Amino acid sequence: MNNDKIDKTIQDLCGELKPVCCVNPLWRALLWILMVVCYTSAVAMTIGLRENIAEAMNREDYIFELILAFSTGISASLMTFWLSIPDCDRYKRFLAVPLTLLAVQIIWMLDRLYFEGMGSIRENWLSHCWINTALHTTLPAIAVLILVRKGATVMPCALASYAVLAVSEFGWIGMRLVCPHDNVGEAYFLNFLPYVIIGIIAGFAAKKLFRW
Amino acid sequence: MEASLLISSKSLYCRPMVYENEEQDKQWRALIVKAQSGDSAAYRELLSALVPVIRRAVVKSLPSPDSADDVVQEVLLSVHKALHTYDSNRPFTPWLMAIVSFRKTDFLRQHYAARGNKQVSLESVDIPDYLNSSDSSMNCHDIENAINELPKKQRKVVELLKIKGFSTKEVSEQTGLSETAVKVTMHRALQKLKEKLA
Repeated sequence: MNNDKIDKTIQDLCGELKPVCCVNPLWRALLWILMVVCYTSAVAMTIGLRENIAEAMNREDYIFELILAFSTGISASLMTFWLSIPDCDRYKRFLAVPLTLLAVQIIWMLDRLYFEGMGSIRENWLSHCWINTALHTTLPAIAVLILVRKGATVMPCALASYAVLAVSEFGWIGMRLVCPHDNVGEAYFLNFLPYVIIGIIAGFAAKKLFRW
Repeated sequence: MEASLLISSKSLYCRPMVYENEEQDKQWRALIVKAQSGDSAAYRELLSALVPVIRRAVVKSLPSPDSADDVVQEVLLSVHKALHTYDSNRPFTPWLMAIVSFRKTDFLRQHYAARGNKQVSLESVDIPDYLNSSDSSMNCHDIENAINELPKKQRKVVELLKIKGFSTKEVSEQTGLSETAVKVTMHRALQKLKEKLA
């Protein structure tokens, strides 16, 4: 046993010690949610809300989809920040909440797909959707990365998954506010596809992104 | 009755192994709170007290005791980096153990990943010649003799199942025994062989 080496490490660490402020992950989560809600609203207003927004707001299915996505986004955000601290065991009982809501969302989508079909997909989606999607998600993704890296996660892969889910849900809500097309092909496949791709990439990079 | 069940399920959920010494946990909690406010003496005391605990927690699952020091150092550095994430209203030990477990897993992952570089070609491996070695052939004869001394039914099952490599189902078809009977016979045969070779 090399005690000298460890004593030297302890000495160095004590020399580097500075007063630290303990920040509850819940506050970080609330800060991020507030920021994302403001940002998504601002981007949607800048791009321009869909022309049939008033009509859509009177539809129960549209409101249900928005509420479901919002609930999933909120719960995934809370999980993301709770997982960013080492002592996250106590929050593991909530791990299933965002996943269950996501499952409900997928079942809803499959139900609509079965009854309504895929619907038409716009020809110019490459030039339209992707820019809006990027606008809706880039800043929230950077913000969540910065805020989460202030913590010290012991579950980087789970954290990355929940972070992607949170960013995706808020981004998707933004897209539903600006994109006038409600068919399954547009609302789910095209608007969700970029997030799925980003999610897969983030999953592979999770350990490097959240290394501490 | 209900109350005791409730308490036991709660204590199970809270992983009682980490609360084996509540007094110690309180002491560490007081020290880390002082360390968070910049008290380096308390910090030194805390880290020094943690070293044997961390070493004890990691040494059993490491490939060699020599690597324990590396993991202990990693954990100490991680405790330092994560100092601001500790909530003083919560027990200290689960927080520490989460870091210990994370760093230990990290170390083991790196260790086993590096094993790929330690592979050697088959030509360079010194494989003992069991067939010509007198000690080994004696052992083989012992096993053969022990098998030959088994009752006929057990001997046949051992030969088919373990020497010829048939599956339980195939042995069952060949011997006319049920699959369960084959397993039971094999188990009894192995018990006898164990006794004879002991």
